[in-house]
Amino acid sequence: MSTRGPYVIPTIGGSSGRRSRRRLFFAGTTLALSALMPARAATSPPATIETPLRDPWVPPELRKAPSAPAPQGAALRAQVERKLKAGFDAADVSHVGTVTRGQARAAGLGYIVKHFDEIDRQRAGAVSFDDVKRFLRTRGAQLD
Amino acid sequence: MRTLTAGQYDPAVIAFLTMAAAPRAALLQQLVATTGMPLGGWQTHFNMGHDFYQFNLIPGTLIGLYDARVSAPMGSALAAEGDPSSTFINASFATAITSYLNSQLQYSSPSSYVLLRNAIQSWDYSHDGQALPDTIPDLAAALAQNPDLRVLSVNGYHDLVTPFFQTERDLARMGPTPNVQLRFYPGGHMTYLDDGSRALEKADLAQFYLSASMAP
Repeated sequence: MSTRGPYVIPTIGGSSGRRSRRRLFFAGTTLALSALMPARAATSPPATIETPLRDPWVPPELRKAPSAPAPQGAALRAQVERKLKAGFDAADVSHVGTVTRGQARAAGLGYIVKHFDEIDRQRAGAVSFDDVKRFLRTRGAQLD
Repeated sequence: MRTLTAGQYDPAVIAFLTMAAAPRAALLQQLVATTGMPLGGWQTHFNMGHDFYQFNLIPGTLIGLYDARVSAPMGSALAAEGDPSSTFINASFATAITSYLNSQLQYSSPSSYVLLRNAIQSWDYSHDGQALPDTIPDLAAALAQNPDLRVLSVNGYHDLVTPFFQTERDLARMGPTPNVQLRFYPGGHMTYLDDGSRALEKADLAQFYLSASMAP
């Protein structure tokens, strides 16, 4: 149920025939919509800001000395691969090491669904993580 | 400044935090010369936060947080909320969003639109098994999945909230990545509030959208 009130027609103004016609069109649309909705005035209250504001907050962890440098290079690429693999494994609900098009779709792995035929070069109906990785690398992904 | 920060200050801060190693006098002098912060400040707050910088760069003056180019005398109305650059614009933003919701979007709600609040104090920052979130692996994974993804990082030189050089260093961890472009403008967190930068940013955005839509 919408809580919107009656639509206010944006002021278009002017007196040219074209503009007038446009205004009439808007008015017609407005009437049609208004008929479907309860007419009651509604506006949002003024926006607020909390004070005193202690923004920005620095996460307590950030005040500690880093235990290791932020990953880059090979370490970052390995981290990316683990993330992709975790997503793949979650889609592999049968735990057989491969994912079908339907399983990829169900898991929201759009990048596999969209390119399934390119990845599934053997026409096996299912792809392994190595197949996916090979495909991504051919498209320039920085994976080892 | 970038070279000094990445090459000397950053390793010295890590040594200071992990081994309580005192910074070299020559480095302290360099920091004084490049930042304007007196030696005493660097001696007592070597791992300097934005808060200390704001209150101690100029005696009797509070420096803006979201835009460090804005400043106000301590005790003045502009300084009362802890960030003159926010206090200077907050009322305009509140008026603008209220008008935008009610007039343009015609959106109504019984609750107020809250521009800023302290909910962030109780935020759970943990992500991917780490207490301190790291979003670079997420971006790198997204780029691996979609080579057509284009990213434009817009930064203000005078923003103490999300300092531009930290963003630059974070993104640099991915190595050379043509899909990610960085832009830097004179200005604070909201780079578009600077009249000169807004025009530059508009042109850069137009160019970015054009190049992204022209990409194969």
